[in-house]
Amino acid sequence: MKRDNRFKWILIIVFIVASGYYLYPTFKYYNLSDEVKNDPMNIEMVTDLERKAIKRGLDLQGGVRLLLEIQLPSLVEKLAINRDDMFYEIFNEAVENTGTAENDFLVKFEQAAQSRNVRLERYFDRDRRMDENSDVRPVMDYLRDEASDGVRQSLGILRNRVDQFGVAEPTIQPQGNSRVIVELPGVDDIQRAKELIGKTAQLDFRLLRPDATFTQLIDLLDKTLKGETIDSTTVASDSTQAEKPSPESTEVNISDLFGDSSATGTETATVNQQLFGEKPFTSLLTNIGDNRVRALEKNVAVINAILQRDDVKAALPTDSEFIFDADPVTVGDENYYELLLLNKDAALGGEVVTEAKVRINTGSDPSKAGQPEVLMEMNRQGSSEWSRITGANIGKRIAIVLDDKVMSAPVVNTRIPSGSSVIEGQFTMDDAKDLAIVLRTGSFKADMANIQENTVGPSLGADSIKKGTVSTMIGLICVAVFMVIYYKVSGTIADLALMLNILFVMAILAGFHATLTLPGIAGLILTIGMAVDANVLIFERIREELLTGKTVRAAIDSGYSRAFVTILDANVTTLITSIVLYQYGTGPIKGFALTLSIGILCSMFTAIVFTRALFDFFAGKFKMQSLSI
Amino acid sequence: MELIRRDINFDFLSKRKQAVMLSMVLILAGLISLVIHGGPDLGIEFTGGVLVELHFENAEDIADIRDALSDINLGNSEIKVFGTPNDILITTEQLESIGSQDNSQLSASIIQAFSNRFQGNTVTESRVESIGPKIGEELVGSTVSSIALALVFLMIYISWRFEFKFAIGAVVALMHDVLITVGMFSILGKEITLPIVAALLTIIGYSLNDTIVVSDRIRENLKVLRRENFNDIINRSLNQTLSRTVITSLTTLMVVVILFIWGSEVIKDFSLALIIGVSIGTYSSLFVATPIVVKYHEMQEAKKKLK
Repeated sequence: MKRDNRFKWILIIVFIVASGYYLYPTFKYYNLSDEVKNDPMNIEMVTDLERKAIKRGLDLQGGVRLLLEIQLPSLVEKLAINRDDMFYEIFNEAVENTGTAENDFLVKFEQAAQSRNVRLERYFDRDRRMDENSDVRPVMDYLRDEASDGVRQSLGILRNRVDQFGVAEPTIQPQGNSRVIVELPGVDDIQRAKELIGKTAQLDFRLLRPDATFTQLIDLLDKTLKGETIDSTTVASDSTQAEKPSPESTEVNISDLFGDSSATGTETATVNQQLFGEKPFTSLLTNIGDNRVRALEKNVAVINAILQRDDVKAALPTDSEFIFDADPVTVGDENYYELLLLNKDAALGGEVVTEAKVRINTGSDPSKAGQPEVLMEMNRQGSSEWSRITGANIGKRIAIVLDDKVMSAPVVNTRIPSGSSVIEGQFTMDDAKDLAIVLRTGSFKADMANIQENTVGPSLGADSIKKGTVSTMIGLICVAVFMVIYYKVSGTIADLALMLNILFVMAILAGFHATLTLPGIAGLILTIGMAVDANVLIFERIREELLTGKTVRAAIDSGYSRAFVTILDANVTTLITSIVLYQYGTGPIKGFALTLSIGILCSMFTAIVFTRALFDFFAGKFKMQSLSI
Repeated sequence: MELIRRDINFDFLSKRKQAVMLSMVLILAGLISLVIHGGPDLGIEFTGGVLVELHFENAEDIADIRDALSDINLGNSEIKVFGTPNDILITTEQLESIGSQDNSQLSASIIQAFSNRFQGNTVTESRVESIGPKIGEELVGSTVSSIALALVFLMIYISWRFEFKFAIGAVVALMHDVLITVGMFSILGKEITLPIVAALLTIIGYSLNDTIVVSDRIRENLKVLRRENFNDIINRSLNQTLSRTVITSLTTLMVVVILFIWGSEVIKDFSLALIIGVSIGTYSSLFVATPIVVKYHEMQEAKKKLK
């Protein structure tokens, strides 16, 4: 008996000391004054403390968590060459039928091709040697490889970007075969971070289509749209005052004319009434001379919607593409975006860009001087191509396109042998820096869509910690007081066990670098309430045994032994549900299951071992005749 | 101090009929509400959509806020005051026209619309959750399977430690608890979100906890009090464990109520679920689980007599 006891006490003391050791960094870290934290001399010490302290979940420290998924359709479309109608037929069917299983699009794509007896080689064979007689398989393997490659590549790019952006402890991890989790704790400018992560950054250099083609296609669009039964008398004669470039501009209802307006987010578009009946598309644009046009900001969405329509897409040739400028030009109160017609295929792809730097424009043009701009450099192959392209197109414009927006479209004045190009626009310094990062780290092979986002602002995080701490304190006090009232001195022993319980749980969290979340704090509080149960079971039993006339020591003995079985069974069931919850839940819920599970295990220890040791100690030392319980 | 008299001998089993009626009423009320609302009100993590919690430096009128949202075609969003009048919660379900999986733009445009509209008033985002529909579907699937899994494991464990009839009583009791809690939430117009599902799983664990303590005492008494009537043994066991049942429920409710009052806004619904669940769970351990065990026992005895 004595030896058992000594062992118990040693165990208890070891645990207490270990807990103190593991929790000390947390205690110290949270008591550091802001001044000390920000002092650069202390940076190493502070980071070290932070690392050892309890890890706070995003919901407690603020930050962003993004779940990105590779968009297989866009990858497949990008990899394909000779995309003809048949390709799109197969493609669209696959898109329609894609289910929720991972990589399901590829499966459906394969099926659609097979059902039409189409050899996919003609869309994917580039310069790979593929057996003339092979079936669909090798292409599918190639696509699957590209998909996993795409995910791997995006992991690398994300890590680079996040690294350059400067986040304290980011987490960038793959999930399954097609997803990536990005966690950025403690970010201040959440919007900026999200944009940086999400940017596909597909860069290329494209020539503009000749002016004649431009005019021709606008004409074509006018005719295509007129194919609708547009009654020009339905145009509301709003007395919107004419603004300089477009005389007699009028507001028209988009849904009346061009169909469903919900995708555009606006209800009306401003058109030049004179042109509207004959040339509906042109009426949305403003001519700025030199065969260039631009559109009012509010018309941009409508124009994009029109360009996406099936009949319009069918009418336009496949070698050209209408793309808007990324930066607006402000005239008076209104913003205008230039619309350009570019070659669909790039003259030069963005992968030749090796470096991107921010610099301040020091040229003579007053509208640009002093503005940040991004200077790009190319590798040797790119430079020689670039030299050739610029040499062959002097006097013409070349567009630098990033993610389907024209960043710049300067006129080529001379041949450029050095492989350098500049993107100028209306950037803030931050914008320019981010753009440089994104150009430097390269583009995602495939679009990564943000399919789930959880963002918590820093003040909410701090607020949650405060409320959580307050609730825990109040909870502890209430339960502790109750236990003392109900079980008297034994109640105090139970309370000591409770305190120890919390100490152990926090220490385990710190020691194992587990994350504490807001639900996790709730789990801790719940543990306080439920952990007491073990003690209650034992004490009630002891009371019963005392009533049957047993001596104090005998009552304690049988109380503990009988209650033990009950405690075990009861707690195991809560543990089972906790574990299931841990497996199933995401972030915050995992935190809850974790603290609940750890709390229950610790409470079993403190209730059975610790309180027993205390009882034995007192009963032995004082030879008690009665028990305060 | 004793809340429950030592020699209490309340006849729980005789109140079976009343208990059944009470439970039926509660369950029915919940079911009717669920039917009226077309099922439980699922949070956006299950349906897909965007949730934005914003903090306004100066509180704005909800009507104005809705106007600002209408400007970007989101006039149909749910707008709630969340805690203080300066904190607003906006929820929008997955919009078809927004098309792609990418909802993150939605939160950005909402913030933009407010900055434009309420010049001079600083609007900061406290929290954004944006979930694509695919993820939502996946989550519903994994929720169902995890609850089913938990139930299976629990039934196995209880059947192993006690007899099968105790397992049935226990599982019926906890399904009863979950059903009533979900029903209550529907009546109160509250959403079933991820934390609520966590609360339900916790309630399952807790309810079981209770039922097991009682079953354990029944098991013990069956061994010791061989000659007594089965129903009497059940009653006796219930009375003996009553003290412990009441105390544990009390302490657990105590902390959960504290969470409800002082905890952060996000935790409030979670605590409410637990308050309902723990209360009903205690009631079901006393008045629902054991009558089922008794019934099963009676059926077993009847079969034995026939042999």
